[in-house]
Amino acid sequence: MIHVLTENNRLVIRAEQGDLAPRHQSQLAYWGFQFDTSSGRFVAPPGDAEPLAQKVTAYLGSCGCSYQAEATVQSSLAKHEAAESSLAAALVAGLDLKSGSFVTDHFKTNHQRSNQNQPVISLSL
Amino acid sequence: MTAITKPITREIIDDFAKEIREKRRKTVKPSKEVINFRTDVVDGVERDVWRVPIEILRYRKDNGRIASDVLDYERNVGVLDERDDYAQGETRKFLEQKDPERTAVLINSIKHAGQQEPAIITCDGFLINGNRRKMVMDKLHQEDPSNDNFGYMKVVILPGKDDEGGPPTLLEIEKIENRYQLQSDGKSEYYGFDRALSIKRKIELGFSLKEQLRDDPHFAGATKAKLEKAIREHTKNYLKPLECVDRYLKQFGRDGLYRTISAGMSDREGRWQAFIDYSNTYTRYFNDPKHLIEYGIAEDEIGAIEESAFDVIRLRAVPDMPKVHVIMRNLAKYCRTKEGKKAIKKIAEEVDPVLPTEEHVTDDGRGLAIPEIDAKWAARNKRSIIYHLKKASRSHETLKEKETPLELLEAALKKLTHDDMDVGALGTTDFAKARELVVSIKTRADELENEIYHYRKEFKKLKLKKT
Repeated sequence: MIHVLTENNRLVIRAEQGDLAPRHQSQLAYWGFQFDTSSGRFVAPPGDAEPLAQKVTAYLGSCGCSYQAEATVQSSLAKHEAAESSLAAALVAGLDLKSGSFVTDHFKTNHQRSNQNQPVISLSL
Repeated sequence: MTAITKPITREIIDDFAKEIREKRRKTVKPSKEVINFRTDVVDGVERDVWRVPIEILRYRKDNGRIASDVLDYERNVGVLDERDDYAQGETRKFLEQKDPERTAVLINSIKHAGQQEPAIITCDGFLINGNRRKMVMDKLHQEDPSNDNFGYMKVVILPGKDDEGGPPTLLEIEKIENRYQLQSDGKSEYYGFDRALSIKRKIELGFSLKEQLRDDPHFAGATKAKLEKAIREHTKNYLKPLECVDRYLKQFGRDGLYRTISAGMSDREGRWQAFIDYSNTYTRYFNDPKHLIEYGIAEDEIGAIEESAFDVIRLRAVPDMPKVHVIMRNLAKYCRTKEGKKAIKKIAEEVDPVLPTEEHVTDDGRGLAIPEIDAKWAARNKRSIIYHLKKASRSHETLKEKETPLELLEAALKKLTHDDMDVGALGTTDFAKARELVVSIKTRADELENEIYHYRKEFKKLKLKKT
């Protein structure tokens, strides 16, 4: 099983021998991960771990690698996913508005969204 | 390896140092030499030149020229202890095998003119500069033991524990090596791969690339811009390809086995050039988002493309295709079409990087040597690699053929104005045919010119209407 975790704001991948094929290791190297021989883990450079976690988990998923993301990674992924769906909804609403078929029920207001503790996308149409 | 934060002095072997002190002779003329150590050159410090019996001088394993061999040996077999005879013998073998052509030249030179420049040794007899000369003089001494010219080496001995300035630190030793050996002065250029490993080792010891280059007479008095350019070039030509080598070795479960990359300049089948070209492709195309979009390559496809590239490098030769380093240069172009990219990625999917353990031994249980394993791996995978690589290459060629009208016009003009277009060289029987062709070209050129004129005129009208 591949474990995706964060440590000191760095994304870390822990995998058993054979879990990651060479192409996966090359891919991680491309994203800046360094293999730490002492711990046998792949460690990303310091920085914003959230977008990288998104990329890595999407990649592992698309390659059919089973992985487990630790709680902090999961919550940042959920946040990212919510932001993405909010953006998608905003784009649909924008298109509807442009074509003159805007239906308010299809799009929650920012006020409602913020009440639900979800990321807010403001529209300036 | 952890970076050194304070200078570490090299450990001195007292018995060896005592023997050097007892057996050295002061019979050399000129008896003094200014060497490039600490501030000796600036201060004009002259050090004694001694004659020391060759058998008490020892090779130093941390010699950049044989960096790949030593690292490979230590990873594969065990640590080389410079103090024992076995390690000394292995180091000599590495030096002998490294560059036989240059060694032959050095043998002739020493045979006829003797040792010219003094070597530089630590106070306990380890050679910092002069390892190759000792190897040659050892050989000559064995051939002719009665000739004392080959039994002694002229050396400058670096300070010991009780001498002024104290013994050199590890960093100072690396600096001496850098000054005397790594600089391409035409007499002792290191093979690129060993040089890359040597630069990396020096960086790990705290001797930054910038400092290494500042120490190089080529960059003496260089402007900041020139030095920065040199740093970029050295990173591009040595350090980045070395990173690719490390990833390649990891892919095949051969971490640290550097001799599988190349044995030296005389190793014509070496893979080092392929890594330089692959690394350039990686930096120029794969690390540049603009190129990735242009070539239709997604970020998350790079891993698979790299695995395939390393499979091709391991195979070394692909029939009816350019050399592997040229393939690496064109790799991004091969991935430019959907079919090409799919074919390249297929290599990674179909090729297993490591053979099953049971295939690493012969039927009678003998472990296979690395070249034998490579041959077995190639036999098993070459069909798949060659098939997909050729498919990608064909796809690239087809794309190339779909040229734009402008490219075709340029190509046509290039042919018509070619140096070989000497009508005087036409055979008398070809005059009629040639004239016919020229008339056709002229007619077609007139037609095209008319068409272009027409389109241009229409375009101008359109612009006027808009305004």
